[in-house]
Amino acid sequence: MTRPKTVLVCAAQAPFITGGAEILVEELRANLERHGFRADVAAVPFKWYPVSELVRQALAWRLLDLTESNGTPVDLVIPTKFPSFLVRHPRKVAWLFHQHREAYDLFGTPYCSLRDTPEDRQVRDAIQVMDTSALSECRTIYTISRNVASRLRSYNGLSGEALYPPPHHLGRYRADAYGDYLFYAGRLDRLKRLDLAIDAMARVKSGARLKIAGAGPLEGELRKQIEGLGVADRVELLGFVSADDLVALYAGARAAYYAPLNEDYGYVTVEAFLSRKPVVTTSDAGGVLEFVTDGQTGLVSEARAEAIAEAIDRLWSWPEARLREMGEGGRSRVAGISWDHVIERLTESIR
Amino acid sequence: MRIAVWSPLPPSPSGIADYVAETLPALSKRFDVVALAEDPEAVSAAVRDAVPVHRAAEPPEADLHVHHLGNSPAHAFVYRAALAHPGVVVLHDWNLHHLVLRETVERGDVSAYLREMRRAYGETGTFVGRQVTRALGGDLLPALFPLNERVLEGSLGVVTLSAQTSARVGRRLPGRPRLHLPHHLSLPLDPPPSREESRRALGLPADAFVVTAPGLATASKRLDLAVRVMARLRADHPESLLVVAGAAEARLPLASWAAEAGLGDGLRVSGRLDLTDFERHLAAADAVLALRFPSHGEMSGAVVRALGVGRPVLVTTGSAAAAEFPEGVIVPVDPGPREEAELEACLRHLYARPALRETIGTLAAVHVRERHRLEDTVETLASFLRAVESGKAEALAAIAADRSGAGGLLGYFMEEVRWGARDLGLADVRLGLEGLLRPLTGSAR
Repeated sequence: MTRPKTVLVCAAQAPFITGGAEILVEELRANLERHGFRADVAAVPFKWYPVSELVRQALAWRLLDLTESNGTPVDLVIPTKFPSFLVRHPRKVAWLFHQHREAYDLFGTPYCSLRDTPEDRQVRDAIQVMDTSALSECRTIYTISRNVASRLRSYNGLSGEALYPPPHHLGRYRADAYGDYLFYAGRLDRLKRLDLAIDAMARVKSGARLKIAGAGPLEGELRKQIEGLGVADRVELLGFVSADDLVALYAGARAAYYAPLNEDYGYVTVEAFLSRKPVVTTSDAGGVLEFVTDGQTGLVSEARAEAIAEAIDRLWSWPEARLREMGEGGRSRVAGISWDHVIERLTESIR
Repeated sequence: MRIAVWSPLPPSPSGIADYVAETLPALSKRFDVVALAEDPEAVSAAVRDAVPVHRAAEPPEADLHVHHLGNSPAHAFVYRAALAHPGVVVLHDWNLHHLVLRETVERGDVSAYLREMRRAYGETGTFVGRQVTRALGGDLLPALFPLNERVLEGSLGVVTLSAQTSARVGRRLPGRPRLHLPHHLSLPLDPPPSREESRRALGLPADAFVVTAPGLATASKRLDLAVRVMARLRADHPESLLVVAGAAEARLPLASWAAEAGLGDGLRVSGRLDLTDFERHLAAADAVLALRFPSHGEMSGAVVRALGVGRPVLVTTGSAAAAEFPEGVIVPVDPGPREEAELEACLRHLYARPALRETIGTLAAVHVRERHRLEDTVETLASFLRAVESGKAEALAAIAADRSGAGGLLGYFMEEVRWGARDLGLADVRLGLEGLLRPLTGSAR
């Protein structure tokens, strides 16, 4: 009997925090098992602050020997996000969720904790050099979106191929109706720019409403903004919702709202399209734009509250048939996203 | 065997200069000794008569370098030499923080200082380093972070003048050759002059109760509370006198402390002294005050001399001097919140009991004359130097391997990882990091 091939999924983990990346890692492991591999997750805690700790924490990965475990060879390692791809292994195939963006596109923006000082620049430069070196060791680099691949190309000079991850509830999304609300689901943090959406809701002339599902550090701030703008009757913070409720909320929405800043990928887009709903986004939303085409599968506006409000009003002025047509267009865009495809590509070298 | 001795030398105001000068003649009987100084022409004739003195910038070949390191700016060239030519470090002060500060921040290179702090103490070092560069934390923060790691790790062996410091070195560098060398006793007037004779020579009153604080008066010598205690003692016993046998640091407000406490002319400051008059001041004392807080782990030559002339010496509990000598030979004073009260109680006790002062002084003199003889200590040092020299090739190779990644991105990566090991006292353990980390540096070596 032949030994099943062993695969280690490498994950950088923040203890006590389970987010999209952690869920994706676990689903990858489960789907590897489903495809007959013996799979496990090697997770090393990662602390990215203070800035002076970053490089040391990252280098911990370099000291590990994951070529075998308890006498059993590890046939393949699949690093995911920074700094797990620093791991040493003769067969390393990265599925890059994202790099440490503060050392790349976010450097010098308000979303970055690294300052423009000699010490922090040294950290940034060190991260860029070690990323380039460590990722160069990979047999293949897959990324979760073309946007992540594009950053890799422009900052590190490396090629990556987009391999889209399926959303968590694949197979359960449906369309019930095209209701009177826009829907967002995800973490409430600054990069998602929900403040922009709330601002826009204060300007819409149609009867559009916005439902926001999820939790995060910006919740209090958003709640204050809703009260301050007097839009509590139009904007609802739902908090964390169950899987059934999530699917139902997508199913009943008129469209989804998703306008983060230069997003890596964005499950919301894929989930909305699988629910046959158009997506309202902005021209700087990054990975979202790999799926949303203005006027065909959604609306792409400038990242200003006035422009977003105008797009929402336009959407509300259209008949349901047009919304359905856009939603169907979206669905066909994401139809090829499946775990079978992901596993097949990631494990090509050990088949 | 040629020994190159790096140190400030007389007439440098460093006490270490005197210490080294005293050892050179005895050392040169055992080895071919050359001394290295920044300006050989400025070195005293007595030293130049004993050994050849070379310019530090042009060091001659030597079988073994010996670096005498203290925390004062006079040691900057020795510090640089110790990093450049691995040798035996004679660590006079455990804490070299101020020296490193002067070599970095005061030369305008704040980043170099922060790198040293991070290298030695990780994230805490970065944080504390930033506070210190912003002039926060006073003297206490530097006292807690000795910044001696780089120079010790690059040494072939370490000599300390106190058992306390030797134990610290042992914890930091297990396996590295080290020697606890008792601080030798050296008295220019031997036998020492009597108390009466000394007071006559110095113009001090014969019937005064004289408490002498020897050496340069600095903030860490606790003279503020000594002044207050002496003022209270003088209120009851007007013949009491506090004598600073040395100069006072310019920024030290000794006069205003004395005025505020009402000590008035009960305080005398001699100014800088030659060694003969320094010894007379010690001999003229009824008690010698050698408190030190925060302590930088230094062993005071003044304490050894004061013990040698047979005077009771009050030292700070926990300091190197307190740990070095048995109680009974020295008088420890706890540096806690009751320090001032304890010092006053000790001085009043000694004031009231001349026989006790004599007993303690006699015990002290016997102790240091038996265990701190110059010839014995130099012989011990010579044996140690020979042993280190015999293992020099292997030790140099280990140091070279340790430094192989210094500078550049590889060095940065290696230091980041090594800190964890260093924090566990594993400075000498070969971690094999270069092979693991070099591939990450790409072309940026």
